[in-house]
Amino acid sequence: MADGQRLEGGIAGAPAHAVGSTVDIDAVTHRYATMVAVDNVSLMVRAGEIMALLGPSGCGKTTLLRIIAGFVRQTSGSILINGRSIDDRPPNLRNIGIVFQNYALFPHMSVRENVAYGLKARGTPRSEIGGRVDRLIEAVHLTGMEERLPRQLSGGQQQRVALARVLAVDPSVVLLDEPFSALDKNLRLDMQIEIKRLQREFGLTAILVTHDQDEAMGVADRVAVMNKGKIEQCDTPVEVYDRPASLFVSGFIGTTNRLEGRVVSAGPDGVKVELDHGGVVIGRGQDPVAVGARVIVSVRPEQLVLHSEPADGLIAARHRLAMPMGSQTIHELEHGRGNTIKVVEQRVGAPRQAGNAVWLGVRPDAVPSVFATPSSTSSSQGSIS
Amino acid sequence: MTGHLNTWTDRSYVVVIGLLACLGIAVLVGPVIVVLMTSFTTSAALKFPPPQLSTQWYVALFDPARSSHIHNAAYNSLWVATLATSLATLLAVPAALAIARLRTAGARALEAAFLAPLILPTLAYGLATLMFFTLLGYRPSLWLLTIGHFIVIAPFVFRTTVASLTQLDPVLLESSAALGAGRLYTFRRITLPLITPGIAAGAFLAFIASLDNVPVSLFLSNARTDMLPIRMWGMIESTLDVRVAAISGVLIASVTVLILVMERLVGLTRRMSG
Repeated sequence: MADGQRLEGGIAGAPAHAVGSTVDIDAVTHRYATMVAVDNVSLMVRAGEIMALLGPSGCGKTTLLRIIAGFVRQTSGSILINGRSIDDRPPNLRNIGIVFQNYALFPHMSVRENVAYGLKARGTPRSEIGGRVDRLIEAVHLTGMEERLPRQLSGGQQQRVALARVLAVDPSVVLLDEPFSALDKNLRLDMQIEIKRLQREFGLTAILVTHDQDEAMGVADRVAVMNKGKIEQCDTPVEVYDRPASLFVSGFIGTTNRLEGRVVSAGPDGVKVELDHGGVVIGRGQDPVAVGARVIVSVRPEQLVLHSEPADGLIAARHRLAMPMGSQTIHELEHGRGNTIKVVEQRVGAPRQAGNAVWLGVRPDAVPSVFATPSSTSSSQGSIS
Repeated sequence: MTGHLNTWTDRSYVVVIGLLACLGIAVLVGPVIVVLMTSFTTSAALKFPPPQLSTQWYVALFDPARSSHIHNAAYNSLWVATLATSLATLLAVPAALAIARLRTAGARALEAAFLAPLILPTLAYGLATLMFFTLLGYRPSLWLLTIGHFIVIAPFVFRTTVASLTQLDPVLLESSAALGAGRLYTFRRITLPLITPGIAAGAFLAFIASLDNVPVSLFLSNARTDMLPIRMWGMIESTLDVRVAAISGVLIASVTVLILVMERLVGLTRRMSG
């Protein structure tokens, strides 16, 4: 077995001994009774990268993870690892490691037994197991805790055990299912760094399933944003943030203001939109839009600047609330009737007076995104998401 | 509770609940104390309070010459209880495993069927068993008693096993599989160790239930296959023998020790409520 040989090589801290495997999700569809949970998803995960599957609950990301792991058999489509289909292999023969949301450590086994479990289950010779387990426990900084039971460990330590246990079997891919959601906020960042470090050190291919955009953006090399069983966009975190491919992505990733308007001109320099409540914005057309079409402009709070004097093209608004948050101030403004706009600006000097009329412009270097107004009105209940 | 008792309502609540609790404890523990004290009497009658204390009835109880019938009945009871419990465990655990896996309507109907002996009147069942096996031409024997006991005690093991299986996090099994373990390995290393306390608790309850079962034994035992509870009843009926109190003393003491050990090992009370 090829995996067995890789396992022999050991992970004594030698980086780049392995480059991970590619995971190819090829047109996978999964239907539960009447609902399509995963809808014709294709995604290529490169060797040695962390891919985040990011989406709201019920978007199909967990189903996709379970399909990759082999716990759920997809209705159609195929999963390939290093180009070979694993569809017919049961979970225990896929060599895919999973770190579960609540870690799923075996409660009746010590840290050492938990880490050694996969090796023993695969019939690795006893002589090899000991040293390998020691090295892994060391790699996750749990030396000295080998004989403890899971319930005697903190959440962070339990997660380290879960990681070591998965790494022990030298998996071709590691699946991380909401791995940080059970940790408190301070620990979360530490573990994100830890996972990234281990992933680099072991050259792992990892798929991270999460609903938390900060997690996905911070940890992943690429982010696949899922909604209603489909992948809306798959790109680097910066690209997904700066150039959201859809209205959903623009609202799901980060905070954005949605302003409705009508296209006055569309050209290579961008789409010029006249907003319903005054003001003109030039943005990048993410959907093909014609002159005169109804559109939604998605502009991030940090892309806007406040002016105290009116000028041509600026958006008129009324200042309602200012929240000074350390170095930044978040302003809430009212635009037209009942539309709120959020603006983030670096705080210099005294905070602005609430209640005054202000004018908004887009920063010269910022490019808002312009989307065609969806035909159904269900998704446009608010201007902020 | 560390809060202050501010109002009369609070105080009267505590008083009423406290009194009810004391009453409950008195009703439960009182008879046990009476029996224990009576067993140490010097008198030749089952009378309370004892005029003076001695261990003469325990000496008489353990004397092979004077109490061979009782010893015989006790051996029979232990033999039947051990065998019936083993049989119950061997059959109820696989049944529970199968039923916990299949969450279908059929499985639920089977579950109800397996639990039925807990609810159905045991007396009627004892009579039915006697008639059934007599019809088949079998004579009362310890084997027949074992089968009779097995049926009424198997639900205990079945129930606690199903309970511990439902408490078993299915993610642990997935985790095991993802680490490369096959089904049998997962069962041996994960499922079985985690449900063993539940099985043990059920087996313990089953053993005790067999040991003091009267209704089934009443119909299925005869002079040759005398069972301890039946023998005790007979002794009281005829002579008010004080050795009955001594037997009760031995039973109470040994079961108390066993319960403490089991509570320590498997958390008996927790398993029963599960």
